[in-house]
Amino acid sequence: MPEAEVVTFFGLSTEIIGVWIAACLTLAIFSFLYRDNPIYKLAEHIFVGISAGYGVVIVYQESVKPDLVNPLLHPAEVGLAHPNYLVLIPGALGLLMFSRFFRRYDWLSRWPIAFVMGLYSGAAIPATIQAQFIEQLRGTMQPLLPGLVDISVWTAFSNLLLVVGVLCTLGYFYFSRPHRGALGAASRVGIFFLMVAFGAGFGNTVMARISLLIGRVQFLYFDWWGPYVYGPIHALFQHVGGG
Amino acid sequence: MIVCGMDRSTVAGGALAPRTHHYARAEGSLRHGQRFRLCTALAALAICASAWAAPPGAPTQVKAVDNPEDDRGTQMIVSWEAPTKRQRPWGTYWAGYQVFYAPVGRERRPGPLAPPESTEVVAACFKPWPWRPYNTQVAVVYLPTPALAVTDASGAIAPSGAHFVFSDTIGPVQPLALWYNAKRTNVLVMMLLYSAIVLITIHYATRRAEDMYIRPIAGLEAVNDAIGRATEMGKPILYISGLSGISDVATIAAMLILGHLARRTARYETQIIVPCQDPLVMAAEREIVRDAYLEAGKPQAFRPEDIYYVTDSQFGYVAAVDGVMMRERPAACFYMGYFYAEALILAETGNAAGAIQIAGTDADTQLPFFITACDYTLMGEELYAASAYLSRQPLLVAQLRGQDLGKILIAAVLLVGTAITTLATFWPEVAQRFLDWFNV
Repeated sequence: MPEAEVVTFFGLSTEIIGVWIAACLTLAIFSFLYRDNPIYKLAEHIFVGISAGYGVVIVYQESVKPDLVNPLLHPAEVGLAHPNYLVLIPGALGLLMFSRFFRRYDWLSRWPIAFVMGLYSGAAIPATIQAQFIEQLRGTMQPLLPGLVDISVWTAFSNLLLVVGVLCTLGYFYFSRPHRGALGAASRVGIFFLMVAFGAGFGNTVMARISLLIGRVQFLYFDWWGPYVYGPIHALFQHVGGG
Repeated sequence: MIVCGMDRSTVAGGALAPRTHHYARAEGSLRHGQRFRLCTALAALAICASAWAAPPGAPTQVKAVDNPEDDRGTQMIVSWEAPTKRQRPWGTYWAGYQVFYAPVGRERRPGPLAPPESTEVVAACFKPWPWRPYNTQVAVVYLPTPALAVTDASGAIAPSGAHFVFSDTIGPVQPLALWYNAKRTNVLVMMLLYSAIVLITIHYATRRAEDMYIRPIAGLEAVNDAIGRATEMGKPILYISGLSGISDVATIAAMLILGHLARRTARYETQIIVPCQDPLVMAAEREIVRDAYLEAGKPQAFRPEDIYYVTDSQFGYVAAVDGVMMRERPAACFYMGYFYAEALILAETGNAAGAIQIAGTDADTQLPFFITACDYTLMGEELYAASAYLSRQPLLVAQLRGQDLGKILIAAVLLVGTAITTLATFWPEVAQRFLDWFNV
């Protein structure tokens, strides 16, 4: 196998430069834990600027070019025999967003916003009904009596908890009646179920966040500190000390 | 082999004759027998050679039809019959089939692979719209060594030396989208039922909606306190409407709350800062705040530069908003809408900046973080109810009442379904039919 060519910049490998930049920016962002400072501001502005610029390129490459430019100017690249002029309609709607730069015509930008909101709301309603109503209802309809259906006592108890939890939580989110009497009791039980679920979710997510922190610390230690900071200094001291 | 069987039976038939002849004739017949065997062997060889030289088998009876199960019009079902075994090219192994298809007039492209025993495959077409007619071919894949055919990223057969034998081109066949997906009738019924409840309630309840009760929601009671605090301290309010797009229900709810908030801040001329992660949301929110200031009779106090786009990168946005919090030191922070992993970072920074914080989201994974780090949190439906609660507009309040009736419907269906599932032993068919209705 031929060895990959090492790209250098002023005699330094770009890989090494990349590791140094990543480590310095990581430490700059972490410096916010102490207080807001100029180093953090520098990292913040680099981050925001690069991500905004990168976003523009991504939108062009993954949306504008394949869905608008290519169907019009290079139809063969998207499997078309002839240019598809229908894409001019969404293209024109997109261009209307630029009307915001002209005070007299900025009302035109409401059209694409209205179009997007209407389109996605229409698409979201059936999906929500399916995912949050029907499938949730189907998943909650479970047998409760172990003698009648082939389930264990613990499964029946678990099913009972599920049904009671759902009904009481629904009670908590009932807004148009005072939460007194039976509804008040149900909503109190409902909030208890909610807090148990949130507690479990909190612990689970914190574990994931800790693993992200560990990943970043591992990068700093193994990829940057060890090979590029401690290693050379240690070697220098050994050399000077004659070891 | 068939050829060998013919050879053996012919020899056996010849062996019966010599018993009835004398020696000389027998010697002569022996020579004749040798010639006969030689001819038979040559004939067998010729048959074998012709078999080897026969064109290798291609799939027959290839058919391509629109997949009736696929309502989007993006799939075809391609079926075929296998070639006979003796049509395999010499020294190769039958590794499976590959479907090739392309829109009419375009070069064929490799499609799905199928194992040797299969006779049908579902082929995904390239784009659902416009629904173009496709030409289809099925190829038998022969490999030099026994192995199953596999493809690389481009869809081509990965091992080298593969031998393809193509069927005739079939088509054109046009996969079509269906106007109605019968499998999702239950979704339609539920949607119509729920919508009907809400609409009827709005129709009948709007007139007396102003007197309608809405239970106190602590997070919304605190909104006015937060605005008052910011006004008294002379500090701005920071409003973040989540990281989701303009079509998200939570973002729409967040924009409605922003409208209410902006009317109050306009009245007291309190600065409101709205950094946005989505350009469309930014455009809509700028309109909302401008309208609110106009409505409050303070158009000169509206500062369009306070509602600005940052970046659509999640953590780039968070870094910028954290910086704003520490520099501007807002008196109140509002986090309304859909949030992801940034929820805790934002809420902790707002806490460090000393702001009163009110959050509202339907992201159940982020709610625990807001509950722990913010002063008040609107959970799920409370966020949707906020606009009705704050504005007390008859239409919105009646809509909230309709949603509550919808919840009663859900609870009723759940209780009936649980009872039917529990008593399924007595009426198994009814129970199964009822539960099947909820399968999507």
